[in-house]
Amino acid sequence: MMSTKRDKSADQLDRALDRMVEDISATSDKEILSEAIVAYGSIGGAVARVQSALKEAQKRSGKKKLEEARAELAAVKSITPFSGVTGLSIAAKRKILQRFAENDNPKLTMAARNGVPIGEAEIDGMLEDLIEIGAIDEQGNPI
Amino acid sequence: MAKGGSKPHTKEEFVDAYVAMPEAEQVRLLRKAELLAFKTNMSPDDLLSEAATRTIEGERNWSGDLPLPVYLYGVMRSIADAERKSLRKQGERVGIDALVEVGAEPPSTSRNSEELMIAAEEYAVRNSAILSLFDDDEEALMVIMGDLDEVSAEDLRQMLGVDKTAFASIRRRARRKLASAYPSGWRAL
Repeated sequence: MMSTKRDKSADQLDRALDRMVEDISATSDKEILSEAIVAYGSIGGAVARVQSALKEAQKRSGKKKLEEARAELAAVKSITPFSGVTGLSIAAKRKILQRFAENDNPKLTMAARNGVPIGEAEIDGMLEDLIEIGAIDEQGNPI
Repeated sequence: MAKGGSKPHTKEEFVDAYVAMPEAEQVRLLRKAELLAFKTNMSPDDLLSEAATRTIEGERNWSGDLPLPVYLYGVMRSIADAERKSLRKQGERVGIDALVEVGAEPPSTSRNSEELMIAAEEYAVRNSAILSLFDDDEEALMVIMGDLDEVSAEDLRQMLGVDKTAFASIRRRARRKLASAYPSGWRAL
């Protein structure tokens, strides 16, 4: 069977490599350090490669976290700001604004007092301002 | 360091222990990574950093009672095995697609049989490449052939008629030659 042939070749390779790995474990500290000098030019050369692998891992992990944070931020940004309160009925919006009519928004105060009609887009803008200053939450509730 | 049972070390403990690994252990780890890389298309350095990345990100946990080099070797081996499986599948696909592209006759047998034949050849090529390194070193060649065919170390030693020290020395010679010939693992795929 072909699958047997394939597995046999791969298994053979594994076995040979395993035995070599065992030899590495059995090699004394002195001998393995001497081997490093021959193979990598110096012990420091080998150590630098191993340590560089850790630095690379830390860099990769940091980059991944940054990408995750960016994705999270993008997801938050993709949600229409203030959609909660601006999605309310015009009457409900006016009611919320009434509560703040006496506050420090002269235009709002004037409009409320004089019964000047304000367009919905303008109301939304004002509600957004109120959310931004922390006067109401995104659903229009006073904070 | 975490103590008791198999409580996993924290990421910080892992990093501290990694940095503080004795030099000889670091060299052994690199040498083992080179051998594992022979199974895959990853470099030894990639295998090492991937093992560290998975630990830092909590995908793999270094348990409290396992020596760090043993743990890292285990993770690298697992990565190499998974990578090899993936390469095997890719190799099978690439092989069959190449045949179709050059206008070769489609396999008369089932597609699976053809794919498996390509994979079998791929591994046979790797094994032959190892053996060809020892054309001028009969003792090392016998040891490697014995390893490939799962002949026990004791039987091999008796076949060669050498004592244990000399036998270990032959195997070490073979290992160093392989590492020297393929410092970045097998990259022929």
